[in-house]
Amino acid sequence: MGARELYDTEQALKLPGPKRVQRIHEEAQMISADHILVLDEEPRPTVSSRIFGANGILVRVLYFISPALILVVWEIMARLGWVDVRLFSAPSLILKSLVPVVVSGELWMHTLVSVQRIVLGFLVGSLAGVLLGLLMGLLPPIRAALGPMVAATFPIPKLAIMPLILLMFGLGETSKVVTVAVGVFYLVLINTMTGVINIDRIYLDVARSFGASKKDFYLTVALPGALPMIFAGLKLGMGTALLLIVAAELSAARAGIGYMIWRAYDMFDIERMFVGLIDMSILGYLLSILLDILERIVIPWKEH
Amino acid sequence: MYDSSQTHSAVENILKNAGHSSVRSSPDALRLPAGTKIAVRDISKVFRTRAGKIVALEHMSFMIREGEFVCVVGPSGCGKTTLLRILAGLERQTAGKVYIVKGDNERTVMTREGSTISRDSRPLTSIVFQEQSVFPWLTVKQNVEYGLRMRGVPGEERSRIADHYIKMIGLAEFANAYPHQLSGGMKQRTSVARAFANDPEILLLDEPFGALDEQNRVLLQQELLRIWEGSRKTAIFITHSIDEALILGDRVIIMTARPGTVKAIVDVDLPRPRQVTDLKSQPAFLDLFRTIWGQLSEEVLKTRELERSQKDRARTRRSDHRSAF
Ligand SMILES: Nc1ncnc2c1ncn2[C@@H]1O[C@H](COP(=O)(O)OP(=O)(O)O)[C@@H](O)[C@H]1O
Ligand SMILES: [Mg+2]
Repeated sequence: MGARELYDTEQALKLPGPKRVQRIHEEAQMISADHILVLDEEPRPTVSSRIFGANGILVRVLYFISPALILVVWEIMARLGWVDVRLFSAPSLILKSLVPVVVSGELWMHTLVSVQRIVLGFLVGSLAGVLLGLLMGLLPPIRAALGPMVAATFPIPKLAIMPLILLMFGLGETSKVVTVAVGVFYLVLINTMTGVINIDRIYLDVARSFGASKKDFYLTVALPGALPMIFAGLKLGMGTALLLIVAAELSAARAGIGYMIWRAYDMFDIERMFVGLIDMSILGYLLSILLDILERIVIPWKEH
Repeated sequence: MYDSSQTHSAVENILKNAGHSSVRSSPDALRLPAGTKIAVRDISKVFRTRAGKIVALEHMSFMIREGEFVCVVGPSGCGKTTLLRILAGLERQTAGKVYIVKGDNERTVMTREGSTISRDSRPLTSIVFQEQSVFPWLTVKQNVEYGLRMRGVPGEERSRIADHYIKMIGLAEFANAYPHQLSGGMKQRTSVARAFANDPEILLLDEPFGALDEQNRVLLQQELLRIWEGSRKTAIFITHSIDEALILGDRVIIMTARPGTVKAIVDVDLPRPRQVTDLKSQPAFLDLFRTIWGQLSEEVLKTRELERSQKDRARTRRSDHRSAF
């Protein structure tokens, strides 16, 4: 391919712009092809890349049907006798025992009881965590006074203090709510405090130079500046809350998903156990979506 | 994850002193030349760090008249930002005094009962920071309104003033956007508008156009000239561009290498109103440019030498350690 040809191609493309064709093209010498590097246009997606590619149909379909696929495999293995149905049950059996608990409203009742405990404990724990976290982040004397105590008690597994909580708060609802609240409290507290401490100091200078009062500073810098971290703490706290509720409902409970699971375990009702587990996972999923939605509303400036 | 020994002096400071009022002691009376707005008297600033003392400013003195536009140039690291932070009340000098003459700020306000004199809540200074400083959690408009909001200006008036300055910086379409949706230059323009909207007696600008592209810089210089020539507000403008200093300033303060002090002050007697595009071709402009460049380049070279000798010293110290083994 010669220079003359290149020139013609350019004209044939009818590129916009004035006087784009320069004389130099016509006088240019011939250059052999091995001295020219051609940067080609991107390839058009092929049929196989559209199916098997990183963003292909297969990947997207798998994403949605993989849970169903696992259920199918599980069912087949159970039917073929490759897994012990008495221990591992089978999707069809679980479904069969799911229907009556749903219809009778029993599952709903257990779920409601657990949700009530989780939400109450979560609210109490996170509210206390945010307040104390802000105080500790903002006021060095309070940080100095309470910091060591928080650092020393945070690593204690919350499950280990459950007996103590039972002794202090009795066998009723309070002890369950407190268990959840304590777990949530620490995570939210530490995240909030870290969030406040790590606010870029330029924003403190801006607030100061524009004459922000103490109250203005809390509301327009400290709180919004720490909010992303606070939400990270709330999300961690929600995970912990779900973990703790099952443990809390192990003892001295007469309702709740955790209670249902432990009861089913006692009676060796594997299917019922699975019903409880599935309920728990759906609940956790919904609560995390709820927090995501809340975050979008409360932190509109964050890139999502 | 958690460290109780962490301290955060910045947070402590804001709770202790909010701006000028509590930082400054006021003398009963002071003899100053007529028309003085700012008198900087023999100030020094020493930063004590773990690595040792850093003398940022040393025996610096100058005066600024009411309504004057003063540009400050100097090699990087010579203490320009430190000087501005001291003037803004964000930092206190180690020695020396700064006197700022407050305006009367009295204005006639028409009320239903008739006119009364009211003391305005006009702030003394507003600062445009060198680095990104718009609040990520506020929209462009909320950022521009910030100073007015802190002063308790009612919402409607606040909104009107903010809209005016947002239009001026060419961000009307982005008034309700959050900073993460803006380019770096747009954020910097927002923080310029935030300082202007606050209507201070003294504007402090720390290389405000340093991060802007050429076209936006010229446009904003032009806009700044237009506004300033209308209001004649006292302004201190730090820049690393001699061009910019000459385009905007009545006078240019040239600072020495660190420890920073005044090396020379050059009067810029170019007529106003000025046109950015016309100025650069004027012979007087070129003469001034050469004068300042001559002074400044000496200091830049000195800064380089200083940095080199510091590196050398660090290297010898390291080799000392090695020979000790
Ligand atoms: N908070 C601080 N702590 C310690 N050193 C500082 C601090 N602020 C500024 N400095 C030092 O003071 C000198 C002047 O800094 P600065 O005023 O930012 O210079 P410029 O704005 O002229 O580039 C620099 O050497 C810098 O490292
Ligand atoms: Mg600087």
